[in-house]
Formats: sequence, structure tokens, C-alpha cells
Amino acid sequence: MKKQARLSRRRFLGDAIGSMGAAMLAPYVITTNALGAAGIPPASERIVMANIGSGGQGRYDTQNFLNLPGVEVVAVCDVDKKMLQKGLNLVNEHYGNQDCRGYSDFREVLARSDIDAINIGTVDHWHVLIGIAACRAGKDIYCQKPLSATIAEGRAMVEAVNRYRRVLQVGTQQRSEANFRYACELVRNGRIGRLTRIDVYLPAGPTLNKTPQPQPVPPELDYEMWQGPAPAHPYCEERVHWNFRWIMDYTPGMLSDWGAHHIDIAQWGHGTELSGPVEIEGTGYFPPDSLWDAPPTFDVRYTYSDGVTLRCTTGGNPRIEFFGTEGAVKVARGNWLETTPRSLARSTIAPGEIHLYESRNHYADFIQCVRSRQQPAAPVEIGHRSVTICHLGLIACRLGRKLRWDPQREAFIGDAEADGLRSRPMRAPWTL
Amino acid sequence: MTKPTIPLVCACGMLALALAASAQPLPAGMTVEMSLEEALGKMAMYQTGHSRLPISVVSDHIVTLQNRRDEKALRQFSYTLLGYLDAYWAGAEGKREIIRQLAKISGSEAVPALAKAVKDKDLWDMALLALEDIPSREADAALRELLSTSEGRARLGVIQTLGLRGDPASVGPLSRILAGDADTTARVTAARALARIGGRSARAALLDSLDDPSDPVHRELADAVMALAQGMARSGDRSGAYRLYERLHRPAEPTTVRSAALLGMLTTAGGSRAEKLWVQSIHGDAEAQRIAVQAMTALTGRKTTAVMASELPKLPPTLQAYVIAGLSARSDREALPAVTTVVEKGVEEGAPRSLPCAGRRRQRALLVAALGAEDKATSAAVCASLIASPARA
Repeated sequence: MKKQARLSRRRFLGDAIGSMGAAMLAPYVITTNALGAAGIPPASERIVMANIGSGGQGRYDTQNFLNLPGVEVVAVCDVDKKMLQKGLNLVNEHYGNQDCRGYSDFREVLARSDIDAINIGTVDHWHVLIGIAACRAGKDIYCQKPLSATIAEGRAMVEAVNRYRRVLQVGTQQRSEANFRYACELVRNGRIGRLTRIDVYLPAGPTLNKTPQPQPVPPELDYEMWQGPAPAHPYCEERVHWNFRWIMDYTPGMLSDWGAHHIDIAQWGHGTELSGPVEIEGTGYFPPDSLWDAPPTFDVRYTYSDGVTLRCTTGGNPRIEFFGTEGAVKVARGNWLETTPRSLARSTIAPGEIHLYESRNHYADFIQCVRSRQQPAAPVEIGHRSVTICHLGLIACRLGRKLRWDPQREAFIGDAEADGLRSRPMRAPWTL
Repeated sequence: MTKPTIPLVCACGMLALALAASAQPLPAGMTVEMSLEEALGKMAMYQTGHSRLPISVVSDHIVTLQNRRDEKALRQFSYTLLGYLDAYWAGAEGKREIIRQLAKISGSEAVPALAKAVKDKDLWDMALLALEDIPSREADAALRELLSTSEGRARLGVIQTLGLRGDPASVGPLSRILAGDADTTARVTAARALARIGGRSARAALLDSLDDPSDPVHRELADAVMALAQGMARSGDRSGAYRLYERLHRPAEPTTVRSAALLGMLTTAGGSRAEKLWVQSIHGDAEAQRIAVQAMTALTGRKTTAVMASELPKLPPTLQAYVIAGLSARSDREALPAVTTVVEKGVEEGAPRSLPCAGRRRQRALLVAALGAEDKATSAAVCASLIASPARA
């Protein structure tokens, strides 16, 4: 049996980790405006964008970019003609013309030299492949969360961004919401004493109590392209569009769908954004007789090297709770913040204390960084590290045993089977 | 255990043999009753729309065996799955599910059946995924054989699988595909595979492929060489990586490639060569200047800091600001005199962003000075940066 010498994707991942050195550490400090470099518009000029993946989330993100001054959306791409048309309508109605071009193949979009940046709003299993291709084509990237469908994919994305010096903002927009930042600043500045525990509550995923029959592929959908690198399956509508996120052939399910947001905040508050836990154990309910096979409920416990534990579980209002030796900070969407003691919520972060990166608009922050070449609020390495924790949770649930993890090497310790789950095969011709 | 004969003349007999040897209780917590034997049979006949319970039962069984570290039982179960894969009554979707399970546990015993499946239009992708991880020379040999006997997407998959496995014996055939295959996708896939395999022969083949800048896939080939250079740098061959980056920095290459190559050159050059290249770049065109600034935290050493600082007075004011920021980020005291001098003379907006690295006392002095500056815009920027800088820690 193959216990000792796992090969290929695993090896590739291991090799890739070692390259995090120089380029990743280099600051993006020089502005295009200042130096007038060729190929990227000065600050006074527009940023030309394309939207790839024009479903609900892709259109929502596109609308937010359309609202920004200095941004022009010139292309929309989707493998579903109905979605494509909706995206085109959105853009053309905004500008009052018919100038936006439609595409069904992202490669044609990336070949356009007039496009500076793309917004990736596709299904999760396409994020990284399109992202890497965009890096090669010299485009900057706003990529919806979760950044990756596997740990290996995420690392490859980091590599490509660093290799080509691109700006990538992960769509974890909670990083641009004041209450989340303030909660993390309270924790990072010791207002609750020494941090001991973080509890993350996520919504339970939906269930599908059936295994649908194959259906004819709708004429508007290029289903082969939709499947891309994922395993091929007969079409049914319960598989595509919004529903993909509950199927493990495409993504880890709710653990990364919401986990990518809230675990990211947990990492931010803990100050472990470039690292991760050292032990993981958990349980999850894997529906044994459903197309939607990702666990809708789970309870995962992570332990960091400093002894802090992170529990990620389903139930209740989605939120993050930080507990320390002298208090607690709880934070959620809707500008909700609760502290113990209550007076903590009125605490001022003094000039000499830790002030975390301040962004008030996730989309505007990305555009600003496209111009300045600085790191945005949710850069690729941080996005990768956050979603890695989601992937680790799923792997622990799948294997049903405690796992030890080396965040530096991004490898499990003494567990070849777990290492094998860091990556996922891709169908040719798609490859990292 | 004696290795069963595969393919079996009588699948049922083999299954009985294997099940007797490997059947285990279902995992604790399983709420639906189904025997492993029943599950295997139903999984082999699985079609979309059928119950997925049999697949779950088999999958959980494998997890149970893995958690017991029961190597013998896992190997026996691999033979069991191979028996079902060979069953005449198994359907295409069922076989795909069997191969998916085999991919978790199989070894060289599965290579012949999987190689055969690569030629099956319904199974080729799953079979390659399973072959990809089998740690045996038999798998490499089978894949090389498949290079000449497979077609279309399956052939592309074979090429990329050989690359992912890092099979050095496949460098020759992959180089030939790279050099002259009619299918450009096959050439790009071969280039990426060769970059992953590495070694002198692969390197030579990849460099040869760059000779024609008008090649429609030239950019993709350059990207493969870049990946090879990254791999060499990681493994410690910095001078070899530098030579590749240098080759990619030629004027004929696209700007994105040249920029990435220059960054690679700066980070792999080492010592005085890196310093010389940095000085050359910081006085070069705008793109080279940007790369030089970006490389400032990657080039280590106090002597290098001193070299960088010595260039500061020769630079235009706007660029000075960014070099000051880069110097400050290096946290070497060698930079302090130059940074202080320039800041006290007046700086461009953005320059003092990382000045606190130079020392708290100096920071306070600068803050006081900035507050009294006549240029209010610069003053505000300096104050804001000095106060807010710890935020980016």
C-alpha cells in the first residue's frame, strides 16, 4: 500500500511551499502613478475590468465595481448564456450603451491587452485556474472566496501572484467592515488579556434528501466547460450554479462557504494570518445518500502552537467569539459587537497600539491597490491561509482522526493519507 | 496473501474470496444497514439517480481500515475493488466510483487495470487520477507506454500525469512532444511537465523551445521555464536559476515575463552581483525601478543596505521616497543616516510610512519636525504615517 512515498500533486505542493521566500516578503510600495510604468494606467486614469463568472455573486461584485469612479467594465464572461446576458445587461444598462462584450471562454478575455483587472465570480473549482492564467496574462484579480478548492490550489495561486507581482484581493469583505476590524484590534491589543480560545459559529448547510436523475443539459450551458477540472458527471440542475457549493467534488461545503469569512476573522484577531494551527480534530455529518455530500453540520477543533484553540461549529447566529483571560469579544455581521466587560466596546485604540489595515470598501481598496501596487486588505497569502484552515477541517472530518499539521511546510506530520487530501486531481487538459 | 489472478474468469468466486478476507464491520455511527458485499455490488452498478449509500458504505470502510493502519486488509480490499472493476456487469459510472475508491488505497497491483481504463472513453480521467499517485515504477512505465497509444484529452492527461509524478525517464518523449507536436496544447502540457521533472535534459529542451518568439505558445513556454527556475532556486541551485531568469529577461520576451525574470535575477544573483544588478535596476527604466524597490526586502545583508543607501542621493525625489520606505523596512541601522538626512531635507508623500523601524526616538523627533513643517500636505502625510505605521505590523 502507498503509505510512505506519496507522489505527484503532493510532491508538487511540498516543493511549492519552499518558494514562499523572497518575492512574498517584498513590499508593494511603489506607485504606478509615481513612476508612470507602461502597461498599467496612472492613478488619474481608469481601471479597465472584466467579470468572469456572472452568476448572482459575480453580478453583485460587478455592480460594486461599476459604482466606483475610475473603473470601467468592458467584458463579461460566463459559460451559461443566460447568466452572461444578465451580466451584459447589468453593465450596459449602467453605461447606457451596448459596448460591453460577452464571452464564454475566459481565455479570450485574458487575451485582451486593454483589460487591467478581472473579477472572478465563478464556481469555486475554477477560481485558481482562472486566477493563475490571469497572472500569466498580467492581470490583477479580485477573487471571490473561498480562494481555492484545495490547499495545493491555494499555494499555486500564491506562487503565481508572487511570480508575476500581481495584486489579488480575496472577496472576504468582512476585512473592510469596521466592527470586525475593531474587534480584532481589541484582541490584538490585549484588551481581553491573553487570548485563550476562539469559537466560530457557522450556519448549517442545506440538505438534499434525494439523488436526482440525469437531466438534459440546457442549451444555454456549456456544461463541459462548467465542469472543467472537476470529475465528469451527468448533468442535473441540483449540481450546478448555486448548488455546486454543497458537493465535495467542487468545494468543501459550508465549512469553506462561510468558514472562509469567519475563520479569516479568527486568524486576523489571533494574529496568525500567515500561519495556522498545529492540530486538528473534528466530526462532521456526511449525508450518506445525497448528491450534496459535503457535511452540512460539523464540529472542528483546531489547536495553535501558542495553545489557543479555535472551535468551528454549526449552529446559532454566524459569529466569532474571542475569549481571553480578562474578557471576551464577540462579533458578527450587521455591525454587531458584544464585549465582556461591556465597557470594552468603548475602548479607544491609542496611536502607539496595533492598528490593523483599514479598508472601508473592499472593492475600492482593491482598485486603489491596483493603482498603488500595495497589498490590499485581503491579499492572496492571507486568503490562502484562511481557507486552508477550512480545508484542514474537512480533511479531519473525512478521516475521523486527530491530525498534526506543520503550517510552515503546509504538510501533515506522519499522515500520508491526509497529505493526499491536500490536493485534488484535475481532468486534462486543466492543470495547475 | 496470495495475489489473485486478474482479470478473473469468475468474478463471483474472486469476490467471495476477497470479501471473506477483507470484510469488516461498518463504521460506528452508521445509521443505515447495508453489508459491505451488497454495497460493493450496488456501487459497481451505480448510475446517477441511484442511491449513493453504497458508495458511502465503501468509502467509510476504507476510512476504517486506514484508521486501523491495517495494511494487509487495505491491500486485500484493493484486490476486491479490482475484481468489481473487472466484472462484466459493472457499468461505466459504477466503474468510475470504483476507481475513485481504488485511488485512495491501490498500489502496483492496480496498474494494469488502470492503464487499460485510460483507453476507455468513459474512464480515462478517473484512471489517470488513480495512476497519478501509485508509487511504483510499473505506473511510470505504463504511463510512458500510454504516451504513444492514447489520444486526445487522455493523451494530454498522460503527459501531465508523467510531469506530476516527476518521471525522469519520460523527459525524452516529452521533449519530442514539446519540440514538434502538432497539438499546441500538448506542447504546453509537455513544457509544464518537463518543468516539474527538472534536470539538465529537461532544462535544455525547455530553453530550446524559447528560440522562436513568434511561437503562438511562446508565453506559456516562458512560464514553464520560469516555474523550472523557481524550482531550481528552491532546491538551492541559485546560479542555475539565475541563468534561466537571465535568459527570460531578453528584450524579445513579454513585459510580464521580463519583469518576473528581473525579480528572479535579483533574488538569485547573490552577493555583489545582486548589489550591482540592483543599482543598475534602480537607475533603469520605470519597470526596472519598480522591481528593484520590490526586491529590497528580499536582498539581505548590511553591506547591501549600505549600497542601497549610497544610491539614495542620486535618485529623483519621488523614487527616493520609495527607496526610503524600502530601506526602513530592512531595519538595518546602516540606512538610518541616509534616511534621516533625506527626510529632514523634505520628503515626498508616502516616504515615511515605515520610518518607525528606524527607532522610536528618531520617530518622535521627525514627528515634531513634521508638525512644524511649512508644507502642510507633506506634514499631514508624515504625521499620519508615523502615527499609523504600527498598524501594518
